[in-house]
Amino acid sequence: MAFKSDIPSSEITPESVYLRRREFMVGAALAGAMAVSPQASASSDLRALQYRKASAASPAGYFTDETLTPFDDVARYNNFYEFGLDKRDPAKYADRLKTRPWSVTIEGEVARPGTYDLDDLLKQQVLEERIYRLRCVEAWSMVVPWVGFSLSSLLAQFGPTSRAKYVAFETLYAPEQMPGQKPSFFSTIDWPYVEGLRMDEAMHPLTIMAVGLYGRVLPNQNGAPLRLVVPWKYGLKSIKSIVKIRLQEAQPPTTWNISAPEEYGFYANVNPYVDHPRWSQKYERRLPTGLLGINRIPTQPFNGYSEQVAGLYQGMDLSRLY
Amino acid sequence: MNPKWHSRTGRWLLWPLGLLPLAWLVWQARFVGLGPDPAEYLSGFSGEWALWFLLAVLTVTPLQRHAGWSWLVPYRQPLGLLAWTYAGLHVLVYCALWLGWDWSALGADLKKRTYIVAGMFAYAMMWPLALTSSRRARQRLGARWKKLHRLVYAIVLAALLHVFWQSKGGVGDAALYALIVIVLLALRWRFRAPSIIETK
Repeated sequence: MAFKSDIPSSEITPESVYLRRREFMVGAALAGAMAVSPQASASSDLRALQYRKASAASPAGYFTDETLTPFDDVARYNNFYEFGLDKRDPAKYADRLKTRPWSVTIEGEVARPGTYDLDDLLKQQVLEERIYRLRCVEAWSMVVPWVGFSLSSLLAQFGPTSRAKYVAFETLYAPEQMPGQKPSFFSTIDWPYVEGLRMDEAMHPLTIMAVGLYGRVLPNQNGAPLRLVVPWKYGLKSIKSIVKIRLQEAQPPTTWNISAPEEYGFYANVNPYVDHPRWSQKYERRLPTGLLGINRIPTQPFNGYSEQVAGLYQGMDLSRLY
Repeated sequence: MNPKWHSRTGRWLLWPLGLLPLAWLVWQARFVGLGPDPAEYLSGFSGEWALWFLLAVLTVTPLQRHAGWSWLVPYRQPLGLLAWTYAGLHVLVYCALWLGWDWSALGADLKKRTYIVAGMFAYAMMWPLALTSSRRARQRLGARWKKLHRLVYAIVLAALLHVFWQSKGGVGDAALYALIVIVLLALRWRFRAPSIIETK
């Protein structure tokens, strides 16, 4: 399952530097607090991270030179129904989420199952930036500079067995912190939110676990402290605030598929040729948009990552397995 | 206030009041912005206000019959026209910001998507009512006017279906609107007898 890296070893942070990361982060946090930057605004409250920047020299798909969606839009326009159905609700209410201490349970087909402290897990990882397109199933999209590490390197820490065919993820269930999870007669979603990937999708180098964006710790409304990012799939696959990862032989259930199976399949690959039953997926609004410049652009198969991922689905009828 | 005040002055004063949400929208657009995705914000805003005014139209008759507030009757016309105005804005936002004036996309939506069909039906049916809302049209159409304006029930049911079918994640809002409509219709049912006497 090893992924052959095309990152030159010179680009990888030496261990000595890596081990000094904490000192650096404290320094950076102070610097961040004092910095007066016109762009800072809400982002300046969040701790800065040390990470390897993405650039045109990064492996294909890790970087795009498309215009970034500004931080304020990325952090204030969210679908995170645990905090409410309105796009502005998560930014309003997500400060109730307690992101430390945070533990992640790894179970199922792994050599070393257990419940781990997130900070201990992060010590094993080198953070890097990925600038990805994010295409929501609702036909809007953003370009986001994430900070994180590949899911494959995280899973490698626990030794997946040969029986691991799928990875199942689960979001925190805590109605006192996440008001949208409170029982409601009218809700069509069962909490907690669950998602899943096939093992080869999970091990793909483009699949990352994000802990930050715009060089800083993830805002709570973006899925802090740990979220999945799978850039060639609709955003609903990129599960937020993860507390459980289970490797298993069977395909796991996924929240939107349970809620509306005719609208959301297990794969949810970005696909302009397969409409959502209630709207077309041919175009997307690249945010931010204005009243006059609506920025409506054609949606690309696999969200523009065909070259990297189309091979995973060879021989599959993607109009049936949507 | 005497009844003449309501039909002469009051119903004109309703217009600036009813257009306050629109003014609020323009103020937001100018001073704080409509967020990164105005298409989504504007369609929700205009659609909700269209529906609220439509529900307001339907409250006039029960209040008249039940509470004896017949002074409300002259307000029904501007309330209906306001519903039609916000529905028009809703359709405009859909055509301009969602479809980018792509008529083939509109054709595809109308062919495939029942909630768009229901919404468009509701809006289309508002036109004959808006065009015959004046006192003069009412007099000219006589008894047929009342029959024609019963279309409002078809409009509100189509609008409700439109709201239900576009719900995602929860149907709480749609259920609230439906409950209000059920109450308003039930109130009519109970007081149907006098209205039969009115029509010849």
